[in-house]
Amino acid sequence: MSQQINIAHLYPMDMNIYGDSGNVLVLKKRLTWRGISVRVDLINPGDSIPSDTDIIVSGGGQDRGQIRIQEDLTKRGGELSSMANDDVVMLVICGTYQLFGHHFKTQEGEVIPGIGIFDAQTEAGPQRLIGNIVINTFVGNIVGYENHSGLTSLQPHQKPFGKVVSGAGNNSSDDNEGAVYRNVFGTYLHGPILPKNSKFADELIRRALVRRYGNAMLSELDDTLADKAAEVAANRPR
Amino acid sequence: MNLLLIIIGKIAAKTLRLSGKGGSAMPGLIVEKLNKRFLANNLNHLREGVVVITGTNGKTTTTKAVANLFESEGLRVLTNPTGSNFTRGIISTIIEHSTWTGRLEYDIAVLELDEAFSRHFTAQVQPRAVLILNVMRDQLDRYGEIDTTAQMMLDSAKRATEVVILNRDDNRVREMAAELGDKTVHYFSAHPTLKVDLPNDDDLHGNSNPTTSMIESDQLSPLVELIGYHDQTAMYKIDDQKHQAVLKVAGLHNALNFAAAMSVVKAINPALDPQTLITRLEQLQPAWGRGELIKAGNTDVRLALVKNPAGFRQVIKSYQDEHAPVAIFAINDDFADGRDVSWLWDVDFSGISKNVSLFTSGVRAYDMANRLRYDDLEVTAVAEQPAEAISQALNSKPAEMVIYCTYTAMLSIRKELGQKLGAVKS
Repeated sequence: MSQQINIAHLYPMDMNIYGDSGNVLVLKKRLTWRGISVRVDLINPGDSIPSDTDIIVSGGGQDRGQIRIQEDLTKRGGELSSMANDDVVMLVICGTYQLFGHHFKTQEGEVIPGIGIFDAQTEAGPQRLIGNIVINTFVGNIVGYENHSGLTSLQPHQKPFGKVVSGAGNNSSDDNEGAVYRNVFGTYLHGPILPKNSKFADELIRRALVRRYGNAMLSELDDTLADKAAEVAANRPR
Repeated sequence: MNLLLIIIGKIAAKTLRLSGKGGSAMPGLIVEKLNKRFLANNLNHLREGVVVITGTNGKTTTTKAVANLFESEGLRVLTNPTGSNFTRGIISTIIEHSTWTGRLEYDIAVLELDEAFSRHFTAQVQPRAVLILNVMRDQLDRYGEIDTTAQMMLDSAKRATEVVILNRDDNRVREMAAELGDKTVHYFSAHPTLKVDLPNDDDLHGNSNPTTSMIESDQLSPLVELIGYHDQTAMYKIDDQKHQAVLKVAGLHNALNFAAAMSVVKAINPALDPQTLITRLEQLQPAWGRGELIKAGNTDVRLALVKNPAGFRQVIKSYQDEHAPVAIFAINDDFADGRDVSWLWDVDFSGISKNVSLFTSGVRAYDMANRLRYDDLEVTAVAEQPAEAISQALNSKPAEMVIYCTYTAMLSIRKELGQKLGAVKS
């Protein structure tokens, strides 16, 4: 029987700065190339997330975009939390990652509430942390590009996504990068993250398939170009 | 003091030229350190004032067009060369064009300014007119956010003494009018039927809830409107008359840049005859790397500078047709290129025909090849060195070839084309 995976692209209008939609493209193609059907739903404020969603992907945004989606995200907080507890796979980048924590405190001291899937909070920092970054995760080293002013700190028992090898990460004072809760991954890495980190992309796909079908058989893809690109990126100056 | 600085600057420039170091930035750097009022002291004397052109895409081509149109009116126009659109570039331009007695014998300055620098510049020199072309995602690793960039441009526009010219079709640009108080504001525009090929930043990111609805665009009548375009022939509406222009500069986006350019000169001098402007623009050659044609052996090589998703999409649309069976994508990630290559994923390459032989080059050649792979396009070869990419691409002796490159990649590609192949401008 043919398999299908449903991807929800959350806030493609407001939270899609610098190529984060590339993550959706990569998941879609890696599924399609393996003969697995894909449905992609674009979820903007006010739209409902289909109940048969397997993977939720969201990106970074500008302050303006973040403010626009914040109210909508708060309304979905309960729904997203139960999906997270139901092991739905989620990849949230930068601005969305921040709002998946408890709150974001702006430079002016205003507190923007998040949905608290991660036991973490973010504060506006004095300067933007910008540059190439390499982190070490459970799938090995991951390369990306970070560009954020928010400093995120994790509560002691909150697992990070990875440890910083080079770059700033969550806050540049501890060596944590991102956060993980069940199948929910939060990170600051643009690049976008999935095209050059095929193993991680496949890990998301594998988890989605296992959740829906009980098992996952992923055929090998030729990732030479992606691996070479990652190797180059890892050796670029900050 | 001013004369002394100009002389010091000129000597510094000459010394550097003699020592083979080139580099137009150095004299400006020295002068800026010595006198913070240098820009104002020199430019405020110009009889016909200063015109500032800023925006994410199209600055160079538009500036060249505006300068040319003023020249056709008999004005002596001071303008900055391609890419020198920061403080030092402008100061170097002033020094280079001043006499040894410190006089700037020009009537008007038409200056292309980097978005961030435009604010810094206009704080010192009040321009007569400011033209804002568009605001697109670009160089976010430098300025952080597109709204920050828009704010910098707005601050520049607020300093205009006579008129501000805005792109009616770009929401973020159009909404600036609301912040400009009682200043005279004019618009340039493209006909709605062309907009699908001229998307603004919101269109590109599926934003159906655009940045503003405070000012409805159809209530604003533009000074110059691009109403049609096909194969380098543009149709403009000016003063309610239609004018056809057969252009040497290729690309729909450049036809729109010309609408912007004509709007500026019409805003300053409404009595000008549109046909004279059109005739002049028909003669104009492409600016450096902006669709420029170079001959390498029997191959016509078109050079297209790419800096951001919107611009990249535009040049692919304009140049990647059936005439160009070979294309090279050369992507570097130095400061001048943008350090973050994420933006390649905001460009849709899926419209490129599978019959085109594709080569990738530059520091991020593999990133680019990987990007094309995800639009199901197979790359013939990845060659990080431009020389190798060019020689491989020319192997099949194609009649035409397009090279899309980021700024520093463009520099090395030109060097290769010139040195190895004796390529000449056609």
